[in-house]
Amino acid sequence: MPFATQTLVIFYNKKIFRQHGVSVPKTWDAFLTLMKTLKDKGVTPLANGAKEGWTLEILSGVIAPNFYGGTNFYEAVTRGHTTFRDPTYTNALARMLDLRPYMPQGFMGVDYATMQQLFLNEQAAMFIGGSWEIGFFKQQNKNLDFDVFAAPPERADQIPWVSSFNDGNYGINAKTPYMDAAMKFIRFTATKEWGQMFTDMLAQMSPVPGVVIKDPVLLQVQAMNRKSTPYIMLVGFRWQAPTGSTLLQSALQAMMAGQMTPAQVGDEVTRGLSAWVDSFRR
Amino acid sequence: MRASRRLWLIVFLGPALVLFVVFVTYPILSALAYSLYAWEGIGRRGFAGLANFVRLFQTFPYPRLLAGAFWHNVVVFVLTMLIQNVVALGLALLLARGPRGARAYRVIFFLPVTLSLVIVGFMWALFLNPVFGVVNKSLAAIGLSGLARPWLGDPSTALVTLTLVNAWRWLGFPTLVFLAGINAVPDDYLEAARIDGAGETAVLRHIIFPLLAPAVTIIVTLTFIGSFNWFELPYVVQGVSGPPNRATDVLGLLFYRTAFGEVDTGLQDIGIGSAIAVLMFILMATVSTLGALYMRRREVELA
Repeated sequence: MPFATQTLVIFYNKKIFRQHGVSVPKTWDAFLTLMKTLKDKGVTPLANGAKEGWTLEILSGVIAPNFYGGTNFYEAVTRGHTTFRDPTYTNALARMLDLRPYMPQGFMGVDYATMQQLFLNEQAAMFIGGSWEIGFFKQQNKNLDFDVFAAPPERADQIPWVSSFNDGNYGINAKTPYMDAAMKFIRFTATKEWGQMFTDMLAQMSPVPGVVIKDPVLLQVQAMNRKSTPYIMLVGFRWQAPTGSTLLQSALQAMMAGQMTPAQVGDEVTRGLSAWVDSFRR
Repeated sequence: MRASRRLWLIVFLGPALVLFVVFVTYPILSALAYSLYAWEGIGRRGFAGLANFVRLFQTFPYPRLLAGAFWHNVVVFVLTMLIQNVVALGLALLLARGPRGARAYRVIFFLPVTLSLVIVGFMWALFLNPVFGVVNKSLAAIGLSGLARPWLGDPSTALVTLTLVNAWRWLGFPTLVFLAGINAVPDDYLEAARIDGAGETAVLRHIIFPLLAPAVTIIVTLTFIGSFNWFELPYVVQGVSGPPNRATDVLGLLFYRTAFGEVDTGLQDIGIGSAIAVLMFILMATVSTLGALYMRRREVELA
């Protein structure tokens, strides 16, 4: 029984946005202009760093789908019609490089905990991450006035893609001597009562149908999910070693450090995955 | 008489032998066995012969990861020899002259060795943090902000930085070993040499260094094993993936994450992990035995 779904978004500090007279950008170019405005005024636009590879995979999960075309590309690559060498994908990764000037000084050494601290202490205007942070942010700094938006697409008339995934499941060990009790518990996790508590107390998106979300930030996340796409490596390419995530995370670090081009990242990931993805073998 | 002697041997050696077999011999042999099987997560499947080794040497990205990690172990060994052990020798020579406060210095140099490695790792990770860390802030304060960099995140500095933190932590240990070796040199020898007109450098070269050879053997062997078994500090400071882009990857981390899974992409692969462990064991056992034999031959015995 799944317990939560997660969505990858951009968090922003509403107070900092108001102070500097900027608003949520509708296009990628407006997003870059907004960050330049903030930087010129002495504000660190993004809290994101690159010391932990997984935060870069998240960053790619937020930024790239609008440029590689979301689920259409996901279907193509999982069905073996194309690979990660496809320029559609590597050009989308290249957009991550646009963000480097707006990340903290020395971002290559900024780890996840530092990213969170920068956003929580209002030292950075935005944090690119996952919806699981909502509850944590609220608990750590009750005065933090924040909201989320989806990564802006190229043109204002496009509805942005958001990456999402099923975060985990409750299951029963088939050999348990307490099958009745376990079944009773699992059934309870599928009830509206459980889902409502889960959502209200932890600010997490419950997969149970009919749960009413009250948290305004989580409501935004729910609205974005009308156009969601699978978080590509986690959903499609984590089934055998080396996983797509392992390969991508390290290669993205090299890309952000200027040691690899986006095309080389795509090649590296495809080569690594070809160990177990038959269609990637040329 | 003979029987009771044998009994005593069993009484004294038995417990240690049992512990050694259970906690050292058995795990090594089982890793060897594991490396010859196919695995699905932590479940053992059929006998696979050398398939894991073939995969390790032929399937991208494993050969590159293995070579990269091995090379980093070599770099760590060489740098530790050059920096940590040479500085330690210098400090030991200075302390042996009995300067004012020698005892206090001895304690100060040894203090970091007594700290838990996890504390050392977290502390230096904080010091070196590019946003909040004291290292870059100090550089800025003395007008050297141009030198500030993400020490642990920059591929060109990460491994060296980590090696220096390790040297900071261990420095006191070789210092004490060398100091004990120098102090063990009989005064008659030094006096005789000086009466014969030997200067400071000649005394160092011809009396102290040859007699220090046993201490050098121990330190070189320990440094070798420590460098090729290196795991705790890179794991605590950098995590299991050897970031950025494997710049701080070493054999210990590679073994750990292939066997037990990488953080949040975790897929266990005990077969290939065990194959790496077996290679590490063969490498270390061979090199440290040969090295110790070679160095032992060069040692001089006191008459």
